[in-house]
Amino acid sequence: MAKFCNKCGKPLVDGKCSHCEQTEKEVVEATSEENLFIEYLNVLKGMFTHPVATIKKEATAKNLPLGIVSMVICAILFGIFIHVLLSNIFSSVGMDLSVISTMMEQLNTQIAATGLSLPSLSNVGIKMAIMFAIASVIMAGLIYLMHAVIFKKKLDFKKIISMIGIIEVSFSVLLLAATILSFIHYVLGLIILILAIAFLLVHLHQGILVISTTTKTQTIYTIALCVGIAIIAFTLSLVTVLISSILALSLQTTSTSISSGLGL
Amino acid sequence: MAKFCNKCGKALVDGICPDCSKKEEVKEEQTTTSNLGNDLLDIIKNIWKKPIETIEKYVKKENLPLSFILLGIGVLVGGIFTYCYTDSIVTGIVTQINNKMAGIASMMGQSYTATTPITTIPFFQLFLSGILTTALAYTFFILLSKLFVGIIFKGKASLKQFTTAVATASVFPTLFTLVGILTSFISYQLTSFVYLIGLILFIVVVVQSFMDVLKAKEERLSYAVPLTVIITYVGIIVINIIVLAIITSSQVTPIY
Repeated sequence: MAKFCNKCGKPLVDGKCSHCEQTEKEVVEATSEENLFIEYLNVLKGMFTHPVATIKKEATAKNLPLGIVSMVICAILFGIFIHVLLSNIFSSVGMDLSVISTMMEQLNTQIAATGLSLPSLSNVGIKMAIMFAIASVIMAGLIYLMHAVIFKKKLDFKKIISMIGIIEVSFSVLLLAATILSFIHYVLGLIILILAIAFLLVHLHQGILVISTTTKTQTIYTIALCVGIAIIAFTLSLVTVLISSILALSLQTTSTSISSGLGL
Repeated sequence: MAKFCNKCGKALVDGICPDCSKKEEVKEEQTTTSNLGNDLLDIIKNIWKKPIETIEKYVKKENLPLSFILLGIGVLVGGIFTYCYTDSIVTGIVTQINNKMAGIASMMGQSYTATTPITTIPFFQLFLSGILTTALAYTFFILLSKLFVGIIFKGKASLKQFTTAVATASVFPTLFTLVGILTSFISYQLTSFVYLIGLILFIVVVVQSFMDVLKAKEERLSYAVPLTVIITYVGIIVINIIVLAIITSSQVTPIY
Protein backbone atom coordinates (compact mmCIF):
# COMPACT_ATOMS: atom_id res chain seq x y z
CA MET A 1 0.00 0.00 0.00
CA ALA A 2 1.34 3.49 -0.92
CA LYS A 3 2.61 5.53 2.03
CA PHE A 4 3.52 8.71 0.16
CA CYS A 5 1.64 10.88 -2.30
CA ASN A 6 2.68 10.23 -5.90
CA LYS A 7 1.97 13.89 -6.79
CA CYS A 8 3.74 15.88 -4.06
CA GLY A 9 5.69 13.23 -2.17
CA LYS A 10 4.12 14.07 1.20
CA PRO A 11 3.11 11.23 3.61
CA LEU A 12 -0.50 9.98 3.22
CA VAL A 13 -3.01 10.01 6.12
CA ASP A 14 -5.51 7.09 5.84
CA GLY A 15 -4.38 6.63 2.23
CA LYS A 16 -5.16 10.28 1.33
CA CYS A 17 -2.88 13.29 0.83
CA SER A 18 -4.23 16.20 2.86
CA HIS A 19 -2.22 18.76 0.85
CA CYS A 20 -3.34 17.59 -2.61
CA GLU A 21 -6.98 17.14 -1.47
CA GLN A 22 -7.08 20.72 -0.22
CA THR A 23 -5.64 22.00 -3.52
CA GLU A 24 -8.21 19.98 -5.52
CA LYS A 25 -11.04 21.34 -3.38
CA GLU A 26 -9.87 24.90 -3.99
CA VAL A 27 -9.65 24.26 -7.75
CA VAL A 28 -13.22 22.86 -7.77
CA GLU A 29 -14.53 25.86 -5.81
CA ALA A 30 -12.75 28.32 -8.09
CA THR A 31 -14.13 26.56 -11.17
CA SER A 32 -17.73 26.57 -9.86
CA GLU A 33 -17.43 30.28 -8.95
CA GLU A 34 -16.11 30.96 -12.43
CA ASN A 35 -18.93 28.89 -13.95
CA LEU A 36 -21.50 30.83 -11.94
CA PHE A 37 -20.04 34.10 -13.22
CA ILE A 38 -20.03 32.90 -16.84
CA GLU A 39 -23.55 31.53 -16.40
CA TYR A 40 -24.66 34.91 -14.97
CA LEU A 41 -23.21 36.71 -18.00
CA ASN A 42 -24.86 34.24 -20.41
CA VAL A 43 -28.23 34.73 -18.70
CA LEU A 44 -27.73 38.49 -18.81
CA LYS A 45 -27.10 38.43 -22.56
CA GLY A 46 -29.98 36.03 -23.15
CA MET A 47 -32.46 38.10 -21.14
CA PHE A 48 -31.95 41.04 -23.49
CA THR A 49 -31.93 39.07 -26.76
CA HIS A 50 -34.24 36.06 -26.18
CA PRO A 51 -35.86 36.36 -22.73
CA VAL A 52 -38.41 33.56 -23.12
CA ALA A 53 -35.89 31.06 -24.51
CA THR A 54 -33.42 31.99 -21.74
CA ILE A 55 -36.01 31.53 -19.00
CA LYS A 56 -37.03 28.17 -20.52
CA LYS A 57 -33.40 27.03 -20.62
CA GLU A 58 -32.17 28.37 -17.28
CA ALA A 59 -35.16 28.25 -14.91
CA THR A 60 -34.39 24.77 -13.59
CA ALA A 61 -33.86 23.34 -10.11
CA LYS A 62 -30.19 22.83 -11.07
CA ASN A 63 -29.69 26.60 -11.35
CA LEU A 64 -30.81 27.30 -7.76
CA PRO A 65 -27.38 28.75 -6.73
CA LEU A 66 -27.49 31.15 -9.69
CA GLY A 67 -31.04 32.15 -8.74
CA ILE A 68 -30.12 32.86 -5.12
CA VAL A 69 -26.94 34.77 -6.05
CA SER A 70 -28.90 36.87 -8.55
CA MET A 71 -31.64 37.64 -6.00
CA VAL A 72 -29.04 38.76 -3.44
CA ILE A 73 -27.17 40.91 -5.99
CA CYS A 74 -30.44 42.49 -7.15
CA ALA A 75 -31.57 43.29 -3.58
CA ILE A 76 -28.19 44.90 -2.78
CA LEU A 77 -28.24 46.93 -6.01
CA PHE A 78 -31.80 48.10 -5.27
CA GLY A 79 -30.73 49.30 -1.81
CA ILE A 80 -27.68 51.08 -3.27
CA PHE A 81 -29.85 52.68 -5.99
CA ILE A 82 -32.39 54.09 -3.50
CA HIS A 83 -29.55 55.40 -1.26
CA VAL A 84 -27.78 57.06 -4.21
CA LEU A 85 -31.05 58.43 -5.59
CA LEU A 86 -32.05 60.02 -2.27
CA SER A 87 -28.52 61.37 -1.69
CA ASN A 88 -28.60 63.00 -5.12
CA ILE A 89 -32.10 64.41 -4.64
CA PHE A 90 -31.03 66.02 -1.35
CA SER A 91 -27.66 67.19 -2.68
CA SER A 92 -29.46 68.87 -5.62
CA VAL A 93 -31.06 71.19 -3.03
CA GLY A 94 -27.82 71.57 -1.09
CA MET A 95 -28.57 69.07 1.68
CA ASP A 96 -26.93 65.95 3.01
CA LEU A 97 -28.86 62.67 3.41
CA SER A 98 -27.22 61.78 6.74
CA VAL A 99 -28.00 65.23 8.21
CA ILE A 100 -31.62 65.05 7.02
CA SER A 101 -31.98 61.53 8.38
CA THR A 102 -30.67 62.57 11.85
CA MET A 103 -32.96 65.62 11.79
CA MET A 104 -35.99 63.49 10.96
CA GLU A 105 -35.13 61.01 13.72
CA GLN A 106 -35.04 63.89 16.21
CA LEU A 107 -38.32 65.28 14.89
CA ASN A 108 -39.92 61.83 15.15
CA THR A 109 -38.82 61.54 18.79
CA GLN A 110 -40.30 64.94 19.56
CA ILE A 111 -43.66 64.30 17.90
CA ALA A 112 -43.94 60.62 18.89
CA ALA A 113 -46.48 61.46 21.64
CA THR A 114 -48.85 63.05 19.09
CA GLY A 115 -49.11 59.83 17.10
CA LEU A 116 -47.66 61.51 14.01
CA SER A 117 -44.52 60.23 12.29
CA LEU A 118 -42.27 61.15 9.38
CA PRO A 119 -40.66 58.53 7.12
CA SER A 120 -37.42 57.36 8.72
CA LEU A 121 -34.42 57.72 6.42
CA SER A 122 -31.75 56.12 8.61
CA ASN A 123 -30.20 53.12 6.82
CA VAL A 124 -32.72 53.58 4.03
CA GLY A 125 -30.58 51.60 1.56
CA ILE A 126 -30.33 48.57 3.85
CA LYS A 127 -34.07 48.71 4.60
CA MET A 128 -34.92 48.86 0.89
CA ALA A 129 -32.55 45.98 0.08
CA ILE A 130 -34.20 43.84 2.78
CA MET A 131 -37.67 44.84 1.55
CA PHE A 132 -36.74 43.89 -2.02
CA ALA A 133 -35.38 40.50 -0.93
CA ILE A 134 -38.50 39.84 1.17
CA ALA A 135 -40.77 40.83 -1.76
CA SER A 136 -38.89 38.38 -4.03
CA VAL A 137 -39.29 35.56 -1.50
CA ILE A 138 -42.98 36.42 -0.97
CA MET A 139 -43.51 36.24 -4.74
CA ALA A 140 -41.82 32.84 -4.89
CA GLY A 141 -43.95 31.67 -1.96
CA LEU A 142 -47.14 32.92 -3.60
CA ILE A 143 -46.39 31.13 -6.87
CA TYR A 144 -45.80 27.92 -4.89
CA LEU A 145 -48.93 28.47 -2.79
CA MET A 146 -51.12 29.11 -5.82
CA HIS A 147 -49.87 25.89 -7.43
CA ALA A 148 -49.60 23.50 -4.50
CA VAL A 149 -52.44 24.66 -2.26
CA ILE A 150 -55.03 26.44 -4.38
CA PHE A 151 -54.79 24.71 -7.77
CA LYS A 152 -53.36 21.41 -6.42
CA LYS A 153 -50.55 21.16 -8.97
CA LYS A 154 -46.93 20.16 -8.39
CA LEU A 155 -44.18 22.73 -8.85
CA ASP A 156 -40.59 22.56 -7.61
CA PHE A 157 -39.84 25.50 -5.29
CA LYS A 158 -36.19 25.50 -6.46
CA LYS A 159 -37.41 26.11 -10.01
CA ILE A 160 -39.43 29.13 -8.86
CA ILE A 161 -36.39 30.64 -7.08
CA SER A 162 -34.25 30.04 -10.19
CA MET A 163 -36.87 31.72 -12.38
CA ILE A 164 -37.13 34.79 -10.13
CA GLY A 165 -33.32 35.01 -9.90
CA ILE A 166 -32.99 34.78 -13.68
CA ILE A 167 -35.52 37.53 -14.42
CA GLU A 168 -33.77 39.72 -11.84
CA VAL A 169 -30.45 39.48 -13.71
CA SER A 170 -31.49 42.03 -16.38
CA PHE A 171 -33.18 44.15 -13.68
CA SER A 172 -29.88 44.27 -11.75
CA VAL A 173 -28.02 45.64 -14.77
CA LEU A 174 -30.71 48.26 -15.39
CA LEU A 175 -30.53 49.21 -11.69
CA LEU A 176 -26.79 49.64 -12.05
CA ALA A 177 -27.35 51.89 -15.07
CA ALA A 178 -30.00 53.86 -13.13
CA THR A 179 -27.57 54.28 -10.20
CA ILE A 180 -24.83 55.61 -12.48
CA LEU A 181 -27.26 57.94 -14.28
CA SER A 182 -28.55 59.23 -10.90
CA PHE A 183 -25.16 60.89 -10.46
CA ILE A 184 -25.82 62.93 -13.60
CA HIS A 185 -29.42 63.76 -12.63
CA TYR A 186 -31.82 61.92 -10.34
CA VAL A 187 -34.65 62.24 -12.90
CA LEU A 188 -32.62 60.14 -15.35
CA GLY A 189 -32.23 57.48 -12.67
CA LEU A 190 -35.98 57.49 -12.01
CA ILE A 191 -36.80 57.15 -15.72
CA ILE A 192 -34.50 54.13 -16.06
CA LEU A 193 -36.00 52.65 -12.87
CA ILE A 194 -39.55 52.90 -14.25
CA LEU A 195 -38.46 51.28 -17.53
CA ALA A 196 -36.64 48.56 -15.57
CA ILE A 197 -39.74 47.87 -13.44
CA ALA A 198 -41.95 47.54 -16.54
CA PHE A 199 -39.32 45.28 -18.13
CA LEU A 200 -39.16 43.13 -14.97
CA LEU A 201 -42.95 42.78 -14.75
CA VAL A 202 -43.23 41.52 -18.34
CA HIS A 203 -40.38 39.07 -17.65
CA LEU A 204 -42.15 37.96 -14.48
CA HIS A 205 -45.28 37.31 -16.56
CA GLN A 206 -43.30 35.29 -19.11
CA GLY A 207 -41.33 33.49 -16.39
CA ILE A 208 -44.43 32.29 -14.55
CA LEU A 209 -45.93 31.16 -17.88
CA VAL A 210 -42.81 29.09 -18.59
CA ILE A 211 -42.61 27.24 -15.27
CA SER A 212 -46.33 27.02 -14.49
CA THR A 213 -48.08 23.67 -14.45
CA THR A 214 -51.61 25.06 -14.08
CA THR A 215 -54.17 25.89 -16.80
CA LYS A 216 -53.84 29.20 -18.67
CA THR A 217 -56.65 30.91 -16.72
CA GLN A 218 -55.20 29.76 -13.40
CA THR A 219 -51.76 30.97 -14.48
CA ILE A 220 -53.19 34.40 -15.37
CA TYR A 221 -54.56 34.80 -11.84
CA THR A 222 -51.20 33.70 -10.35
CA ILE A 223 -49.39 36.23 -12.56
CA ALA A 224 -51.81 39.01 -11.57
CA LEU A 225 -51.22 38.26 -7.88
CA CYS A 226 -47.43 38.31 -8.22
CA VAL A 227 -47.42 41.44 -10.39
CA GLY A 228 -49.65 43.06 -7.74
CA ILE A 229 -47.17 42.22 -4.95
CA ALA A 230 -44.28 43.56 -7.03
CA ILE A 231 -46.18 46.78 -7.80
CA ILE A 232 -47.06 47.29 -4.12
CA ALA A 233 -43.40 46.79 -3.10
CA PHE A 234 -42.16 49.24 -5.74
CA THR A 235 -44.90 51.76 -4.92
CA LEU A 236 -43.94 51.69 -1.23
CA SER A 237 -40.29 52.41 -2.03
CA LEU A 238 -41.14 55.11 -4.57
CA VAL A 239 -43.57 56.76 -2.14
CA THR A 240 -40.73 56.93 0.44
CA VAL A 241 -38.54 58.61 -2.19
CA LEU A 242 -41.36 61.00 -3.14
CA ILE A 243 -42.24 62.00 0.46
CA SER A 244 -38.56 62.49 1.27
CA SER A 245 -38.08 64.67 -1.81
CA ILE A 246 -41.12 66.80 -0.96
CA LEU A 247 -39.83 67.19 2.61
CA ALA A 248 -36.37 68.15 1.34
CA LEU A 249 -37.79 70.71 -1.05
CA SER A 250 -40.12 72.21 1.55
CA LEU A 251 -37.28 72.38 4.10
CA GLN A 252 -35.14 74.15 1.52
CA THR A 253 -37.96 76.62 0.74
CA THR A 254 -38.43 77.30 4.48
CA SER A 255 -34.71 77.87 5.10
CA THR A 256 -34.47 80.14 2.03
CA SER A 257 -37.42 82.25 3.19
CA ILE A 258 -35.98 82.47 6.75
CA SER A 259 -32.58 83.52 5.36
CA SER A 260 -34.13 86.16 3.11
CA GLY A 261 -36.31 87.35 6.01
CA LEU A 262 -33.22 87.82 8.16
CA GLY A 263 -31.52 89.58 5.28
CA LEU A 264 -28.76 86.96 5.06
CA MET B 1 -91.86 41.60 -63.00
CA ALA B 2 -93.94 41.44 -59.79
CA LYS B 3 -96.08 44.52 -59.09
CA PHE B 4 -97.58 43.43 -55.75
CA CYS B 5 -96.05 42.07 -52.58
CA ASN B 6 -96.39 38.30 -52.25
CA LYS B 7 -96.56 38.62 -48.44
CA CYS B 8 -99.12 41.38 -47.83
CA GLY B 9 -100.52 42.06 -51.30
CA LYS B 10 -99.69 45.79 -51.28
CA ALA B 11 -98.31 47.57 -54.37
CA LEU B 12 -94.49 47.49 -54.66
CA VAL B 13 -92.47 50.73 -54.99
CA ASP B 14 -89.33 50.14 -57.11
CA GLY B 15 -89.86 46.42 -56.63
CA ILE B 16 -89.87 46.78 -52.80
CA CYS B 17 -92.85 46.57 -50.45
CA PRO B 18 -92.67 49.63 -48.15
CA ASP B 19 -94.56 47.87 -45.31
CA CYS B 20 -92.75 44.54 -45.32
CA SER B 21 -89.26 46.01 -45.82
CA LYS B 22 -89.91 48.33 -42.83
CA LYS B 23 -90.98 45.37 -40.69
CA GLU B 24 -87.86 43.44 -41.73
CA GLU B 25 -85.65 46.42 -40.85
CA VAL B 26 -87.23 46.66 -37.38
CA LYS B 27 -86.79 42.90 -36.91
CA GLU B 28 -83.13 43.11 -37.99
CA GLU B 29 -82.47 45.99 -35.59
CA GLN B 30 -84.08 44.04 -32.73
CA THR B 31 -81.96 40.98 -33.53
CA THR B 32 -78.76 43.06 -33.63
CA THR B 33 -79.62 44.74 -30.32
CA SER B 34 -80.42 41.44 -28.68
CA ASN B 35 -77.19 39.97 -30.10
CA LEU B 36 -75.22 42.87 -28.67
CA GLY B 37 -76.94 42.37 -25.32
CA ASN B 38 -76.23 38.64 -25.40
CA ASP B 39 -72.62 39.23 -26.39
CA LEU B 40 -72.17 41.73 -23.55
CA LEU B 41 -73.61 39.28 -21.03
CA ASP B 42 -71.51 36.47 -22.50
CA ILE B 43 -68.31 38.52 -22.13
CA ILE B 44 -69.11 39.63 -18.56
CA LYS B 45 -69.89 36.04 -17.59
CA ASN B 46 -67.03 34.22 -19.32
CA ILE B 47 -64.13 36.67 -19.08
CA TRP B 48 -63.56 35.49 -15.47
CA LYS B 49 -63.62 31.80 -16.27
CA LYS B 50 -61.78 31.76 -19.58
CA PRO B 51 -60.36 35.21 -20.34
CA ILE B 52 -58.15 34.29 -23.29
CA GLU B 53 -60.74 32.05 -24.95
CA THR B 54 -63.37 34.82 -24.57
CA ILE B 55 -61.06 37.42 -26.12
CA GLU B 56 -60.17 35.00 -28.93
CA LYS B 57 -63.85 34.42 -29.68
CA TYR B 58 -64.59 38.14 -30.01
CA VAL B 59 -61.36 38.97 -31.86
CA LYS B 60 -62.42 36.41 -34.48
CA LYS B 61 -65.83 38.11 -34.74
CA GLU B 62 -64.13 41.54 -35.12
CA ASN B 63 -67.31 43.15 -33.78
CA LEU B 64 -66.34 46.82 -33.68
CA PRO B 65 -69.74 48.22 -32.47
CA LEU B 66 -69.57 45.87 -29.47
CA SER B 67 -65.96 46.95 -28.81
CA PHE B 68 -66.93 50.62 -28.86
CA ILE B 69 -69.88 49.95 -26.55
CA LEU B 70 -67.56 48.19 -24.08
CA LEU B 71 -65.01 50.99 -24.25
CA GLY B 72 -67.80 53.59 -23.97
CA ILE B 73 -69.13 51.95 -20.80
CA GLY B 74 -65.57 51.90 -19.43
CA VAL B 75 -65.13 55.60 -20.21
CA LEU B 76 -68.44 56.56 -18.54
CA VAL B 77 -67.67 54.50 -15.46
CA GLY B 78 -64.19 56.11 -15.42
CA GLY B 79 -65.81 59.55 -15.33
CA ILE B 80 -68.07 58.71 -12.37
CA PHE B 81 -65.19 56.95 -10.60
CA THR B 82 -62.92 60.02 -10.91
CA TYR B 83 -65.50 62.14 -9.07
CA CYS B 84 -66.24 59.54 -6.36
CA TYR B 85 -62.55 58.68 -5.82
CA THR B 86 -61.46 62.34 -5.59
CA ASP B 87 -64.30 63.06 -3.18
CA SER B 88 -63.33 60.02 -1.11
CA ILE B 89 -59.64 61.05 -0.99
CA VAL B 90 -60.40 64.66 -0.02
CA THR B 91 -62.96 63.66 2.63
CA GLY B 92 -60.68 60.91 3.99
CA ILE B 93 -57.58 63.08 4.24
CA VAL B 94 -59.41 66.09 5.74
CA THR B 95 -61.04 63.78 8.33
CA GLN B 96 -57.65 62.24 9.16
CA ILE B 97 -56.07 65.70 9.62
CA ASN B 98 -58.96 66.83 11.83
CA ASN B 99 -58.71 63.67 13.96
CA LYS B 100 -54.94 64.12 14.38
CA MET B 101 -55.40 67.78 15.32
CA ALA B 102 -58.13 66.85 17.82
CA GLY B 103 -55.77 64.22 19.30
CA ILE B 104 -52.93 66.74 19.68
CA ALA B 105 -55.30 69.32 21.19
CA SER B 106 -56.73 66.85 23.73
CA MET B 107 -53.16 65.88 24.78
CA MET B 108 -52.51 69.55 25.47
CA GLY B 109 -55.73 69.75 27.46
CA GLN B 110 -57.52 71.90 24.91
CA SER B 111 -60.56 71.31 22.77
CA TYR B 112 -60.33 71.37 18.99
CA THR B 113 -63.07 72.27 16.58
CA ALA B 114 -62.41 71.44 12.94
CA THR B 115 -61.62 74.65 11.10
CA THR B 116 -60.93 72.86 7.83
CA PRO B 117 -64.34 72.31 6.24
CA ILE B 118 -64.78 69.30 3.99
CA THR B 119 -64.52 70.82 0.52
CA THR B 120 -67.36 70.34 -1.96
CA ILE B 121 -65.98 68.60 -5.02
CA PRO B 122 -67.28 69.91 -8.37
CA PHE B 123 -68.96 66.94 -10.05
CA PHE B 124 -69.04 68.09 -13.66
CA GLN B 125 -65.35 69.09 -14.04
CA LEU B 126 -64.12 65.88 -12.43
CA PHE B 127 -66.57 63.75 -14.41
CA LEU B 128 -65.34 65.33 -17.66
CA SER B 129 -61.72 64.98 -16.61
CA GLY B 130 -62.32 61.29 -15.83
CA ILE B 131 -64.01 60.72 -19.17
CA LEU B 132 -61.16 62.46 -21.01
CA THR B 133 -58.49 60.50 -19.13
CA THR B 134 -60.12 57.10 -19.62
CA ALA B 135 -60.90 57.73 -23.30
CA LEU B 136 -57.34 58.89 -23.90
CA ALA B 137 -55.94 55.92 -22.00
CA TYR B 138 -57.79 53.40 -24.19
CA THR B 139 -57.03 55.30 -27.42
CA PHE B 140 -53.32 55.62 -26.61
CA PHE B 141 -53.11 52.01 -25.49
CA ILE B 142 -54.74 50.62 -28.65
CA LEU B 143 -52.75 52.80 -31.06
CA LEU B 144 -49.42 52.26 -29.27
CA SER B 145 -50.02 48.50 -29.05
CA LYS B 146 -50.57 48.46 -32.81
CA LEU B 147 -47.44 50.59 -33.29
CA PHE B 148 -45.07 48.63 -31.05
CA VAL B 149 -46.48 45.09 -31.03
CA GLY B 150 -47.90 45.25 -34.56
CA ILE B 151 -45.68 47.49 -36.69
CA ILE B 152 -42.25 47.90 -35.04
CA PHE B 153 -41.95 44.31 -33.77
CA LYS B 154 -43.67 42.94 -36.88
CA GLY B 155 -46.82 41.39 -35.46
CA LYS B 156 -49.54 40.45 -37.93
CA ALA B 157 -52.72 41.57 -36.13
CA SER B 158 -54.83 44.43 -37.49
CA LEU B 159 -55.88 47.58 -35.63
CA LYS B 160 -59.43 46.17 -35.51
CA GLN B 161 -58.14 43.06 -33.71
CA PHE B 162 -56.12 45.13 -31.24
CA THR B 163 -59.23 47.25 -30.56
CA THR B 164 -61.40 44.17 -29.98
CA ALA B 165 -58.84 42.51 -27.70
CA VAL B 166 -58.34 45.64 -25.57
CA ALA B 167 -62.09 46.37 -25.49
CA THR B 168 -62.95 42.82 -24.35
CA ALA B 169 -60.26 42.91 -21.66
CA SER B 170 -61.54 46.35 -20.56
CA VAL B 171 -64.38 44.51 -18.79
CA PHE B 172 -61.93 43.86 -15.93
CA PRO B 173 -61.10 47.49 -15.11
CA THR B 174 -64.71 48.56 -15.79
CA LEU B 175 -66.17 46.09 -13.30
CA PHE B 176 -63.50 46.76 -10.69
CA THR B 177 -64.00 50.51 -11.17
CA LEU B 178 -67.73 50.00 -10.55
CA VAL B 179 -66.89 48.20 -7.30
CA GLY B 180 -64.43 51.05 -6.59
CA ILE B 181 -67.30 53.58 -6.89
CA LEU B 182 -69.14 51.67 -4.16
CA THR B 183 -66.08 51.29 -1.91
CA SER B 184 -65.29 55.02 -2.29
CA PHE B 185 -68.11 55.59 0.21
CA ILE B 186 -66.21 53.42 2.72
CA SER B 187 -62.51 54.30 2.31
CA TYR B 188 -60.17 55.71 -0.31
CA GLN B 189 -57.46 53.19 0.58
CA LEU B 190 -59.79 50.28 -0.16
CA THR B 191 -60.87 52.00 -3.41
CA SER B 192 -57.23 52.40 -4.51
CA PHE B 193 -56.65 48.70 -3.85
CA VAL B 194 -59.76 47.60 -5.80
CA TYR B 195 -58.87 49.88 -8.73
CA LEU B 196 -55.30 48.54 -8.77
CA ILE B 197 -56.54 44.92 -8.99
CA GLY B 198 -58.69 45.81 -12.03
CA LEU B 199 -55.78 47.55 -13.73
CA ILE B 200 -53.34 44.69 -13.09
CA LEU B 201 -55.81 42.08 -14.36
CA PHE B 202 -56.38 44.20 -17.48
CA ILE B 203 -52.65 44.48 -18.28
CA VAL B 204 -51.95 40.79 -17.58
CA VAL B 205 -54.89 39.59 -19.69
CA VAL B 206 -54.09 42.00 -22.54
CA VAL B 207 -50.43 40.90 -22.63
CA GLN B 208 -51.49 37.25 -22.60
CA SER B 209 -54.01 37.86 -25.39
CA PHE B 210 -51.31 39.60 -27.46
CA MET B 211 -49.26 36.41 -27.18
CA ASP B 212 -51.97 33.80 -27.62
CA VAL B 213 -54.64 35.48 -29.73
CA LEU B 214 -52.85 38.16 -31.76
CA LYS B 215 -49.74 35.96 -32.13
CA ALA B 216 -47.31 38.71 -31.17
CA LYS B 217 -43.61 37.80 -31.05
CA GLU B 218 -43.19 36.80 -27.39
CA GLU B 219 -39.43 37.50 -27.38
CA ARG B 220 -40.14 41.14 -28.29
CA LEU B 221 -43.05 41.71 -25.91
CA SER B 222 -40.69 42.65 -23.06
CA TYR B 223 -39.79 45.73 -25.13
CA ALA B 224 -43.17 46.43 -26.74
CA VAL B 225 -45.34 46.27 -23.60
CA PRO B 226 -43.24 48.58 -21.34
CA LEU B 227 -43.03 51.14 -24.15
CA THR B 228 -46.79 50.97 -24.73
CA VAL B 229 -47.71 51.26 -21.04
CA ILE B 230 -45.18 53.98 -20.16
CA ILE B 231 -45.92 56.18 -23.20
CA THR B 232 -49.67 55.79 -22.52
CA TYR B 233 -49.21 57.04 -18.93
CA VAL B 234 -46.88 59.87 -19.95
CA GLY B 235 -49.32 60.87 -22.72
CA ILE B 236 -52.27 60.99 -20.32
CA ILE B 237 -50.32 63.02 -17.76
CA VAL B 238 -49.05 65.51 -20.39
CA ILE B 239 -52.52 66.02 -21.94
CA ASN B 240 -54.13 66.42 -18.50
CA ILE B 241 -51.50 69.05 -17.57
CA ILE B 242 -52.15 70.91 -20.84
CA VAL B 243 -55.95 70.81 -20.32
CA LEU B 244 -55.51 71.96 -16.70
CA ALA B 245 -53.23 74.80 -17.82
CA ILE B 246 -55.77 75.92 -20.45
CA ILE B 247 -58.64 75.82 -17.92
CA THR B 248 -56.59 77.67 -15.27
CA SER B 249 -55.38 80.32 -17.69
CA SER B 250 -58.93 80.92 -18.97
CA GLN B 251 -60.12 81.42 -15.38
CA VAL B 252 -57.40 83.96 -14.45
CA THR B 253 -58.66 87.51 -14.75
CA PRO B 254 -56.20 90.34 -15.44
CA ILE B 255 -55.48 92.57 -12.44
CA TYR B 256 -55.61 95.80 -14.43
